[in-house]
Amino acid sequence: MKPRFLSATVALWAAGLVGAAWLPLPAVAHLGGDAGSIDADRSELHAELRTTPMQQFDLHEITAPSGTLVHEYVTRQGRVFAVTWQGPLPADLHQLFGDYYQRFQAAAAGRMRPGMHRQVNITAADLVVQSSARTRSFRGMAYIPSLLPGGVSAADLQ
Amino acid sequence: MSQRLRWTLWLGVCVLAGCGGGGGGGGSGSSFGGSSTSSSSGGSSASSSSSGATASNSIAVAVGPGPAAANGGTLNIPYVSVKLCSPGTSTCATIDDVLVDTGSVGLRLMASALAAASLSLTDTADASVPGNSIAECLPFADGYTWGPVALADVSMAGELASGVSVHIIDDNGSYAATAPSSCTTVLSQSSTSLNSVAAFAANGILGVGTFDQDCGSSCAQCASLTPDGCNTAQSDLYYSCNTSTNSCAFTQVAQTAQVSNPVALFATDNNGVILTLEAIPAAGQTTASGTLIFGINTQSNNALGTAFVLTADSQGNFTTTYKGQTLSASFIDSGSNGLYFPDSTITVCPSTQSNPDANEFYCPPSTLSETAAMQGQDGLSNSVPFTVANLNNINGSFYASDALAGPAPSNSNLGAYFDWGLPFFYGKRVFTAIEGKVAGTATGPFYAF
Repeated sequence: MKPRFLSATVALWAAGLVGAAWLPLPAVAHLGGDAGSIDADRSELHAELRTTPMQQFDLHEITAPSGTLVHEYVTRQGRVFAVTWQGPLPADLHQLFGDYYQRFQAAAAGRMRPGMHRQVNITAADLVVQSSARTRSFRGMAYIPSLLPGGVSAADLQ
Repeated sequence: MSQRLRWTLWLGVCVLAGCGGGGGGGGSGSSFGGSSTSSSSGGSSASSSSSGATASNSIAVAVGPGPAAANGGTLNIPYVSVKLCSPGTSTCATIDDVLVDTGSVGLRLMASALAAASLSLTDTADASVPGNSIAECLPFADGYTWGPVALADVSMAGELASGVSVHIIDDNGSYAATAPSSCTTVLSQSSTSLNSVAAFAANGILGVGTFDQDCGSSCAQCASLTPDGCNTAQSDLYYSCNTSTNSCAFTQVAQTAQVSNPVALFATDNNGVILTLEAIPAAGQTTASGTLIFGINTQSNNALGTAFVLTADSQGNFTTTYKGQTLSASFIDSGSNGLYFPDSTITVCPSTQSNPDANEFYCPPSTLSETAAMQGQDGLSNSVPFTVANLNNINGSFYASDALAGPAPSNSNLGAYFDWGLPFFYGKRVFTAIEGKVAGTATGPFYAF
């Protein structure tokens, strides 16, 4: 998969131990993926992340050159359980969704609504997607309900 | 509703099977030298042109079944006719059943509709790569449209925009460069092709939203340089395509060459539009008529007067407050056929085998009367009543309903919105002003009503 996010953003270690520092971290993980398993992608991506460890997950922030902002949420066990995106140009959902892209496609393709192409909402047991697309405004979120850490809800995603 | 739902299901199957192309409508005539022609037997706009809208800056709008290739159409699509000419010539055609969309920017036409009207436009050459032409991939939430960019003289009523970049949606395979994978899987939010009359129930889309161009500076600049030059791996909307080798690569396109809002290029009356639709009964109506007026505060028929001005942010958004929710990415959009907003207390329609998309709509036990406050960037707000009907109670033969509504994302961290779709326009004059353009005492982007 050809990476697209090539911006230099700041890597931030916010555990309160060492303040701000540059960290080599996996760049573009994908939904359901193992963050640790794709570290090899990092050099190819030329991307750096701002990572904020939270109590129940790590928040990885990637800013595309266009200004599109991507957040990836990784469980303490190293699984990407949610992604969000927003910006003036589309995010690469094919990359971000990983193995769940085909699942998303299957659900989205079953919809044929001539009167409404601005949003897609999919609520399934194994995948929730809320996506909207408008001139100069693309945003949305996707998460795997079964991987949501305890105490974390969809409303917490940013 | 059931008949329309069957159509909807059939259309979905058709598109998945790849049979959506080539549907420009049979029985099409063609015209040269500016006389009107109909490009579809199902056209509704031409027939309603006698209902008003005779001023030099206004055209008739009709809500109805749309083109024949839409196979019956769907609820709440507003149609107009648009005349296009090869630049600087009298080789012209009028395309009927073009969707008026205040939520997007730029004129987009199905290649099949142009072909049916015997109008051939020249693909815009890429000045920097000899032999290449410029194409665009336009992502929607549920798919994408693909095709070349071309120049046309666009006229509606007495208004003329010369040399406008328009997007030709390649629904008939006439463009030799097919959508590259970066369009169908990277840019596209969903890999479904929307290159068909059926996908939009229209022969084209007239985007008259709050911007001059559809992309703007994001597509005109190189956002990141690499040692090899501009990084073209980033997502962009425009491509340079070699039609001989069927290969396309991202390219930058100057803002003035991007697919543009034709209204912004009119000599006068170029600061925005008013879309007004007749008031209709609560139960709905078979069809509805209206008017698209060009310009704001430029003529006697488009005065801002005492209309409430709703100032928008740089994305054309404002805030709607509804049942304690602050929906900060709200917009007014004639290209959405319903009111779409989050409300966990209203029953969502169950999807059924005959209508898998029913869960895109609300199904309250009885029609609800609600209120929301629309607040502009300047802090001024206006309380707006609206109604929510049960989808299944809307007469299946109706095309106009001011109470069609459905759910929308509710996560306020990610720009939750109230999408004030076409139901909002019935019985109102709704102004949409273009970014940076002055209209009366206000400057776009703003909405007013």
